[in-house]
Parts: sequence; C-alpha cells; structure tokens
Amino acid sequence: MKMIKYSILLFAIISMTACAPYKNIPKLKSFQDLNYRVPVKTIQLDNEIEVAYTDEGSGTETIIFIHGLGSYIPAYDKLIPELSKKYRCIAIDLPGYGKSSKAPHSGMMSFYADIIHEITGKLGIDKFSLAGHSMGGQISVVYGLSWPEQLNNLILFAPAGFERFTPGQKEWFEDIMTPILVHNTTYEGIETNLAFNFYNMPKDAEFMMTDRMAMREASDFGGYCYAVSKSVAGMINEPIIDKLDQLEIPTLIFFGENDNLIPNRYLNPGTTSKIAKYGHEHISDSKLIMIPKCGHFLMFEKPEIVIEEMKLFIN
Amino acid sequence: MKRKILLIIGVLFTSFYGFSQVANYTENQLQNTSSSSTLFEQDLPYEAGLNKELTFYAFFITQGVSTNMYPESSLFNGQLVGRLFGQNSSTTSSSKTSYYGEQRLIPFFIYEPKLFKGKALLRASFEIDWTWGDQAYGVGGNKGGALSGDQVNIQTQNVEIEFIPAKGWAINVGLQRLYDTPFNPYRTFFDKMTYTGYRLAYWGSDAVGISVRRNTDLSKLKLGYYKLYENSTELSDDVTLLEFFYRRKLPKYWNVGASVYGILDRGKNTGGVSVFGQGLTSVLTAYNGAYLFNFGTNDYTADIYWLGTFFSRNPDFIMDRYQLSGFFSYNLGHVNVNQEGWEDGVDVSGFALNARGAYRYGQTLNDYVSVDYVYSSGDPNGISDGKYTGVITGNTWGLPASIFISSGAYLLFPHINVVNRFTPVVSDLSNMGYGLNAFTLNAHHDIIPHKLNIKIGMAQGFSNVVPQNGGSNIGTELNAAIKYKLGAFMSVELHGADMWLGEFFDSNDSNYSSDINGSYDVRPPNPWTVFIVYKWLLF
Repeated sequence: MKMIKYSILLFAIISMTACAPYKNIPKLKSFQDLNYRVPVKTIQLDNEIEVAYTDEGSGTETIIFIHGLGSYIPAYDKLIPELSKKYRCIAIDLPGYGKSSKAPHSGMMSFYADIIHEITGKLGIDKFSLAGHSMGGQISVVYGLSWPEQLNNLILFAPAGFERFTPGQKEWFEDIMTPILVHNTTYEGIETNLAFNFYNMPKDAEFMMTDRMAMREASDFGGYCYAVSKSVAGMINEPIIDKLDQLEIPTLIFFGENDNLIPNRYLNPGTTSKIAKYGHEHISDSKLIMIPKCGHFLMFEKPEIVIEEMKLFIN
Repeated sequence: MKRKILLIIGVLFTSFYGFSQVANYTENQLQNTSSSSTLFEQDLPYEAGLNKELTFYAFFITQGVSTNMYPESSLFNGQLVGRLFGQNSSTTSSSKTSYYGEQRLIPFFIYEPKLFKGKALLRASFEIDWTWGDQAYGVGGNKGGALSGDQVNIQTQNVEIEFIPAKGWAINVGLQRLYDTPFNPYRTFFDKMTYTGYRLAYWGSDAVGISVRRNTDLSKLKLGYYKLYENSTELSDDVTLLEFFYRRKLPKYWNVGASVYGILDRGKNTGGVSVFGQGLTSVLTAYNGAYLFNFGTNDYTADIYWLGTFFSRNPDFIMDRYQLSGFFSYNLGHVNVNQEGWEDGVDVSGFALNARGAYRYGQTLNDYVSVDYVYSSGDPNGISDGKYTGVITGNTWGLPASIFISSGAYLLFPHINVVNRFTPVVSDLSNMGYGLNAFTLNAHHDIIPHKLNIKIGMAQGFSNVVPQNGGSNIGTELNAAIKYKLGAFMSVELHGADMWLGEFFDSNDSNYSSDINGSYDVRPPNPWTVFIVYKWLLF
C-alpha cells in the first residue's frame, strides 16, 4: 500500500510541475503584431476605417477573399500561395478583425459589403471574383445582390445564410453572443471552438488557436470581441435565404459533408447536404461541391480539392 | 477714384473679414459640435447584452416507465432509492410488471444585482418531483398529481451566494453542488462533470459549506469546507468534509490532477437522512449498497481520507478522435470505537480505479464507441481483523451522495434518467465491501447528425470477494436507446435494458450490508426496464 501512496505522490508532483501546453503563444501588444505569411497593406476608407489587406500574384482574374466570423486573412494561407501563381489574390481583414481598425460598427452584412465595394473602388478593380468563407460567404452574397455587374464569379466556402432561423432563435443568438462571452472564452473554449470547424483538425491549424489565445492580451482585443458579437447579430438580422433566387452570378458553392457548424447543431440539427442543396437549388447559375470527410473550414482541411475546383470554375 | 478704390478695398476687406469671421465661427462651431459628438464615438458599448439581473432556466424531465422492479414495502411507494435487493425492500418479479409515470422540474434562479454586477450573485435551485398519482417523497396524505392532490414535495437543492472578488476567483457560500470534478458545476455542462475527475463516483450531490475556486487558463484549484451533519450545536458531534482539488492542463490535450478529501466523522450515527441515519454504522449504508461497519450500538469516531489522482485526454472529444480518462483514489483512515471506553477500532485502507477510452469514428460527438473499466478493492474478511480494505464513498453519509451514472449501464450501475426510483444492482463503488471488477462497452451513432441517435451497450460486473453460497459473477446487462431531438436541448428518448443476474445473487449473505438477494432465498428474477423520456433544458 505504501507503494501506491508513493506512486500517487510522485505522479502528482510530476503532473503539477509539468510543462505548459502551448509554448508558442505569441506576445501581442496589439493585433498589428500578429504574424502573417506576407506583410499587409492598408487602405484608408472615407469613414476613417483603416482596412488591412494582402495583395499577391497577378493574372487576368482578381479574386478577393473574405474571411469568416472571428477569423482573419491567414484563413486563406493554404489557398493563396497556389492560386496567386495564376490569379491576383487579395485577402481582406474585415473591420474589427485581424489588422484592420477596431472602431465600433454595425456588424451588418451590408456594412461589410459596402466596405468591400469601397476598397475595390479605391484599388481600381472593376471586375473580379469574390470568395467568402462562412460569414464571409453571406457577405459575398450580399455583395453579389448589390453590385452583380462587378462580379465575374461568386465562390462560397460553407457560406452562412442558407438556413432559416425563427425570430425566437435570432433573439436567443443575440442574447448569448455578447462581447463579454467572446472576451471570456477560455483556453479550452478556444480549442474546442476551432476544432468544431474540422472533421479532422490539421496539425498546421494550431496557429489559429495560439493566435486567438494571444489576442486576449492585445490592447485592441475589446474591439475584436465587439465586432464578433455584432457580426453574429448582423448575420441573423440580414438573412439572405429568401434572396438567393435573385443571384444571377456564376456561383461555386463548397460544403464539407461533415460540417458541425452548418446547420447550427443546436437550433437546426440535421445534415449539411440538405442545407447545401437548398442553396444550390435556389441560386440559378450555381455548382455545388460536397467534400467528403470534411468540416466547416474546408479551405484549410481540403485545400487541394478547393484549389482544383476553383481553377476549373474560374477558367 | 482713390476714394472709390479705398471704398472698394474697405468693402472687400470688411466682406473678407466678415466672411472669415463667419467661416471661423462656422468652423469653430463645427469643431465644437464634432468634438462633443465624436467624443464617445470610439467607445465600445461592452455592457451591451450582459445578463439581466434575474435569470431563470430549468430542467424538465417526464418519463413513462415499465419495469419488473418495485418496492415490497408500501412505505417506499412514492420514492425508492438505493441498491436493488437492499434494505429499501426493492425486488424483482417474474410475473409482476410496474407501469408508472413520473416527472421532475429543477428550476434555477440567478439574481445578479446591478450594484454588484459581476461581483456577487445569488443562486437558488429546487427539485420538484412526483410520480403521477402517487406519493411525493413518501409524504403522507396528498398524492402527487392525483385528483385534488396538492402536494408538498419541493426540495431545496441549492441556495448559495457566489462572490467573484477578482478574475478567475469564485467563492461560493451556502448549499451548493458537491461534485468530485474540478469543473465549476454552474458553468459546465453536466455531461462533462460525469466524465471528468472521479465521475461523481465518490461525491455527486449537494452540501452546505464554503468553496473557493481559482481558475486560470492552465489550472483549476478548488478548496472546500462542508458541514455534512450538525446534530447538537453545543457538542462536537458533526460530520465535516474537507476538499482540495487541483487540475492542470498539459500539452496535447492532456490534463492531470490530484485531490485530497477528508471526513471527520463525530456524528455517532445520529442525525442524517430521514430515519436512516448516517455514517459507518447507519442503516443508510444498507440502503445505498455501501459497507456497514457492524459495531452494534457502540459509538465511533472516524477520520477518513481520500488521496487521488486523475487524468483526461481530449475531454471535450473534439480535438481529435481519441478520448481517455481515468482516476485512482486511495481511501485510508482510522475508526475508533467506544466499547468499554474508546479503543482502536478499524484501520481503513482501500482503493478504486477507473479507466475509460473512447474512439470517435464519425462527424459528431455522438458517433463513438467506448470501453469503461472500474475496479474497487474488496475486503475478504470484513472488519474482524481490525482492517477494512474496501472502498468508502459519500453514500455512507448521503442518499445517494455518490452516483456513478456515466458508465452507459442502466441496471448494473445507476443511470441518469432518474426521478423517484433509483435502484441499480451496484449503487456504490464498494459493492457493499465485496469489491468490484466491471466494465461496460457502448456504441453510439448519429443517424441524423445532432438529431437522431442510437446506442447499444453491454455491462458486466464481478465481485472481488465471493460471498457465502454465491459466486463472483454479479451479472451481464444488455441495453439500447434511441434519442430524437425535437429542438434545442429538447429530446424524446426510448431506453431499454435487460440484465442476467449471476451467482453473486445466489447468496443471501448479510455480513457486509443487508441480504445480497433481499427477500429471496434463491437467485431473484432478472431485472429489466423500458422507459420513454421527454427532456427539456429551458433557457
């Protein structure tokens, strides 16, 4: 029995003095210190918002990439290096996210669409393809409905907005998704929130976790939390599900077959394929790609398939 | 001409001066206006959407049950808790079938006064149970839900104040959850509580006292002091529980922890649960399937400690496809007995361990297979040698205080869908002191992701000590369930289980507790149960 006691004591001592789980959490004074694959450029908009973006590659086609809720430009780190060999690829940090300014804003999908429109105007881009992930997909659809003449193609990666929420569900969403909730997310919460984006989380996605953990110490973290909270409200208060029929742009829709975020697993439990097919059927000129054994963050989980299909579609 | 020129210059100058003054005034006015209106423009309305002062949520469950388990004594018609075939008169029949409906509502009220927003709150929860048309908690007179059946059946589950003096700290004072896991029960889904730490196998109830928590990103620390029983306030005749808990996060989704629990029992088997009493010599042990220390009517004092360690890997089951968890708990201590004066009674030294592994093969958290193993040391000769080498849990002091409900079994071990009737074959980790060697196998599958789930499982138990005239095989269980989500946190479920009792129940040994097989002289009929459940977590 003494052996048992000593074993417990030894195990306890070893455990308590063990190393920390994340050695590589960067130190951030502000979101500007985030480590991106390539340096960002900035553009000053008329409403004093400063937007960060990356601009890589060249070609006859320009693709503008919009990230999803809580995300940032590096969400496209597995697509742009390859696609920029053939196309001009611009990725944008939406206001409130990444290295863009963190001033309070409405968070509405139309607000973000206006921002993109102003950026393309200032950059002198008349025609382009717009690609958006999740919330970025919903923003892209709003853009396509507002300025269809500017778009050659819409590319939607697991877009939000293809499912319907009741007024009560919308209210519930708004009630729980407060800035404080985002602010108080623990390490474990950050881990699981990211992991739910994948069917099998790739090892090289860990930087998103450590970046998000590091963000909590940044001086402008409050602005980010506020933007996330407002963006959720924006998504549910500017639904696109009944406007999909009005889209007349060639649209490529990607979904992972095993998306744990779409449909919402609490409010609309069911299969992703049902949601995806609904969107596909209601967008007249669309092509749907369902990727097996793949979750919500499909551009990171199955980039090869995405790149291949994008090239085929754009060409 | 000169005068005209001067006049023109004068007019122009005056005009320019006037214009510039107007311009200056306008600009200043604009500046003033813009400075005051934009002063707060960049402020983040961070308080937006904070919780209201009063928050209400509730858990509701109603179920229709059919089973061949029932109490033989009408005293337990309203409520039947404890070990199947134990002192609670529960038994099985090969010819009689019980049919009943029962329901539970647990309302939670949280009040956060604006003046102390985020720093102090009151939390209260209650338990309102009844069997349709039957007694509530054995309270005589009105029949719960029967015609004109107003009832007195509300139990106060928690009433406590939580202070949050600084980020990461929480001090809870009052009647609160007592769970043997490191997680804060008020901020953690119940499922997670049942798969971490000691899985409520030692402590899974409520207690009055004070607890202090310190949570950081990498660690969770909990200190607790609870008064389990206070008999005569002027005498030292209390039962006091002390708790220390620490859990640390490690790389690669691993977590480890250690804990120390201690009970100082001076209750002398007085006070306690209803007429059952509490403590090592109480009849409560015979109800709960714990070991009964047979000191006759002699008083005792006991200092019992639990030293434990536990681990988990991927507790949320989403980081990758493998989930592991386990614990080891060693209980030790000493009991003094007052026979002709106080003298050494019994040395306590026993342990239990658990290991659980699961593999998630599909998309959702409900696509998995799992194996769950539990072992507890037994005592081959009782306390006749001055030693008890079995396990002691909270079930010695509460009804029930230890609820190992996440094994996946329905009959061998307790299950979670319980209101008023709670009679597993093994209701305490100690298995009455005979010890336990058991495992469960379970397979779950989401037919429709997050919506429709099926489950099949089996459980097998053995006793480490073979009872007189019996064998070690406790029994084999097969079970299945189908669950359908009607909405957010609302489901309807159908569960069924059948168990084949083993030779263990050929014994009517009562040296360790009550008769093993209750009122039968031979092996009792095999237990079975089928129930349909409606559940709703309202918030």
